Amino acid sequence: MSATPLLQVENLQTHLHLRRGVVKAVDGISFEVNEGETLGIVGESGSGKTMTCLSILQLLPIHGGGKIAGSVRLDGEELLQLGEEEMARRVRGPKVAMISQDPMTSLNPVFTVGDQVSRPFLYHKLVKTVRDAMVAAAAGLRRVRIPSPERRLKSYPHQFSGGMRQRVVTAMAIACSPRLLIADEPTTALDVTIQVQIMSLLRSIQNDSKVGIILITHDLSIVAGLCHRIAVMYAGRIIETGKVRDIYRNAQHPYTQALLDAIPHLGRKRRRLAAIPGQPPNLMDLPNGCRFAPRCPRRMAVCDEYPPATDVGGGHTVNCWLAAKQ
Amino acid sequence: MGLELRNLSKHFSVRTDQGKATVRAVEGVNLEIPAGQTVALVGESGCGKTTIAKLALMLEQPSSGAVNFDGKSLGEMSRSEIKDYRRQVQAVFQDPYASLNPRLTVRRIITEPILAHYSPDRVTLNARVAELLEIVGLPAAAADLYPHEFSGGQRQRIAIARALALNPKIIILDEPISALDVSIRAQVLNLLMDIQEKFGLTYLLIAHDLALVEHLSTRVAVIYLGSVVECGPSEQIFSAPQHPYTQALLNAVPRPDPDYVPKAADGFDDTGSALEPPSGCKFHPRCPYAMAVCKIDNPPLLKLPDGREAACHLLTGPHAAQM
Amino acid sequence: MSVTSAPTPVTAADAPLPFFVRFRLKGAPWIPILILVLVLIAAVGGEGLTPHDPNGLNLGAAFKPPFWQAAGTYDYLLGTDNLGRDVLSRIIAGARVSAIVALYAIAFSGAIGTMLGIIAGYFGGIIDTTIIRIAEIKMAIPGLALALIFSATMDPGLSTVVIVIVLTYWTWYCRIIRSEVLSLRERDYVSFAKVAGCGSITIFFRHLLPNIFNTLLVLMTLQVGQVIIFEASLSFLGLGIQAPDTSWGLMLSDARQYITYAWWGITMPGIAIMLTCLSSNLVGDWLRDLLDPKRRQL
Repeated sequence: MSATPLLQVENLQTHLHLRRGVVKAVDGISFEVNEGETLGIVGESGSGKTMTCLSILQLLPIHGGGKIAGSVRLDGEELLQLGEEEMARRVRGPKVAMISQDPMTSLNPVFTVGDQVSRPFLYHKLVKTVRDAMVAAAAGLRRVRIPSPERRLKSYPHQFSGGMRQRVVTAMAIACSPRLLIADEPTTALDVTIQVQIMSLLRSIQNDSKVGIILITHDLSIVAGLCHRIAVMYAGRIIETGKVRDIYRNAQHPYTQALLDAIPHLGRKRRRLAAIPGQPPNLMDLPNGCRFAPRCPRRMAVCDEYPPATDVGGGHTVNCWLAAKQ
Repeated sequence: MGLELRNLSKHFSVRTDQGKATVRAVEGVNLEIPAGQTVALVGESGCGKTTIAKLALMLEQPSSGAVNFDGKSLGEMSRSEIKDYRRQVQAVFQDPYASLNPRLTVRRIITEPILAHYSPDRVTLNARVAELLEIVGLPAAAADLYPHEFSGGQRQRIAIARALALNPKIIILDEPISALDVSIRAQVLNLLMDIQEKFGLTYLLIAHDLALVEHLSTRVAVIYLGSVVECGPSEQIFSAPQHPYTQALLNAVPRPDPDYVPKAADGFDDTGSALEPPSGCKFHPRCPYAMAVCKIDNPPLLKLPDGREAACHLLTGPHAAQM
Repeated sequence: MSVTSAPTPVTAADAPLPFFVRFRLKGAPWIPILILVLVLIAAVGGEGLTPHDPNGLNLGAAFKPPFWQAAGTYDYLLGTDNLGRDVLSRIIAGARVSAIVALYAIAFSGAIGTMLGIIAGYFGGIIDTTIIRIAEIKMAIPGLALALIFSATMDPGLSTVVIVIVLTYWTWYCRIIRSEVLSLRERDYVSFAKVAGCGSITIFFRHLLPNIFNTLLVLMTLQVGQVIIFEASLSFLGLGIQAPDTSWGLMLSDARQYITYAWWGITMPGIAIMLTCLSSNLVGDWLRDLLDPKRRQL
């Protein structure tokens, strides 16, 4: 591992103060992403994976009453101490970019694709004239392998298919050669055939530019081929993290194991799947101990206390008493 | 008691930049859904699989062809026969947030189909609600809550309870688990399998997730731009896909295995458009094996020696030898 | 990942309370409610409640300012107009016209517009086109021109005002409700109701009407202000309420020429209109939240 990681998140807490109470969307998580590395954050809806990324970018919903605490360092610089102005000028775009889930809503329907792709170049003053920005935009579209980019610059988003739109969004995200790319379920809205394309595009972008990628998903099968490391989140905390092979071949946490078992695999027809009983906990009323304990088939008395992180070898850590006891 | 699609077509006229155009959403689909089986329609978004479900649910009228129930076309049914059809055929939709009216309690949601056909007394009705909730694994107290008080998986259970309320024979499942969290999917999937066994249900499953389809279905029909390109028993299709499109679909499916890299076929960037379908075989612009004949001639859906059906010049007709 | 998807454990304790208990009075907008209640009392009580005869001329007491000014008296709390009529009494008496106009006009234009909007949106096709064309033709005619035509052919007065307002405003409801229904009818629960064999009537009343209620309520409460002002402009032009009856609009009209030295004559009914409109909007917002099962429990 290199000297300083590209992104270092320590004890990040994002609590949303609502009228009904405090939602602990992210509750003390730490992780790092190295240059040229892809970290997969896997979790169900409500596990805090999207909130984690919005917190890194400080893009919490304005009226959500969100409070961020902890530390987020990018190339050693503390982001949580930067003001909105600096985040917008120096961080979002040039350093950290994001691809969101829905390519239908992340482009503005009334501007041409050229307009939108050229905008980051102008805003961050990478080019001087609109003409240069258009040239840069065409190059950007070529990078994401959109055929005949000069002609496509004049098209409007509705003239693109879903997969093509996600390519356009990706082109915008990598316009300023960011150090870190956050992809929030980039393929959920796309067909499987297109999904493969976008994933291989992300991989080739990373090979070219050494960008660090955080890939957020709820589906373990999608991230398997792309990620170097995986962090599994449950109810606002990371419960298991490790190299991708360790997670898939040697999952230690009962939740990770259950998630892997609950996926219908191609070529493994079974009558019944091993379902995880129950529902994820309410983020306003979390159990004191292990948050998965109420649904866990291997629950013990000690689970009433929150399990410490246990290193089971090779940077593979698990928050589970089963691992701690061995 | 099965459903049968006979040469079913549905065309929509739409306005485009160039004026009016016709979308051939469904084009000459023949399919049997035998009683007790699970038949899956798979394909990419926009391929017409949801339109087929709507036609079978009589939410749309076919442009030509027919949906037959018990050998009788839906278009020729009398009012009372339609009413009976409505009792026999129910549906579960994809989005559990959109499929329950937010202004009604669970009790009123579940009893809606019953009250549309019968007028039972309160005691019977409440007993039925309790029974249905128990079948889908929800507590009886759920009956007096509103949909927003439930998670996605619980809502889908409510939708299933509603679909079961009339003791139907056939349930049309339109992407029943794709909007749910991974850890919840297996629960709902198991529930669907349990009730199928318990009540002898016939399923028409609409899905894009091939792993789910393999898991649940007995027969599969692969749809491309409104037409069936391959159809047969589930094991055959998944173990040895014959049509290049089926192969491409299966190759693209991600697996929870870090050493497996799904194959991205070249030219697979754009799903075709039903608005301007290509000439000949509609799949030829994306097909790695496209031949001259594919651009001119649309291959018919023909029976292969192993019993399945496929529509490809490579497999049928004079070019079959090349495969 | 939304916070609302956080699951709720289902227990017997979550069983709903009877509606009247759930009618949460905490956080209710008490002041606006009080104002509306006062307006309604004034409207019902009318002249029985006024300290003076609203039409009682007393030229000797003309242009008395409100009580807090040096020349004011406690006898005429809000002052008097050019004919010495008590402004407070006239506001109380005028409340009746404003309330009647608002209630009738909103009820009728809302009912007609909503019905046509639902029919147009739900059935679509030629029915939709016909209704929307009629609405568009209507909207091309300025409201006041319509009012002039009607007043010329009918006697000016309360019922004319109501008819003119209904004719002017139904299109408003119709268009907005139609577009709402266009999206609602594509909802899966409407599809499911059809699959279950429910008739159009059931779908209307169970699935469409309750779900457009929010919009309807907001439109209606916003319209209270517009209707009162529309009535005021009609009366101002002499096409609406005729003396000796009075309305807030007529008061504005009467007091306009004396605005430079008797500001209260125009300000007081103006404040009455403003408070009523504001209150109805606030109460409307509250009712909307109250009737929405989701917001109710936030």
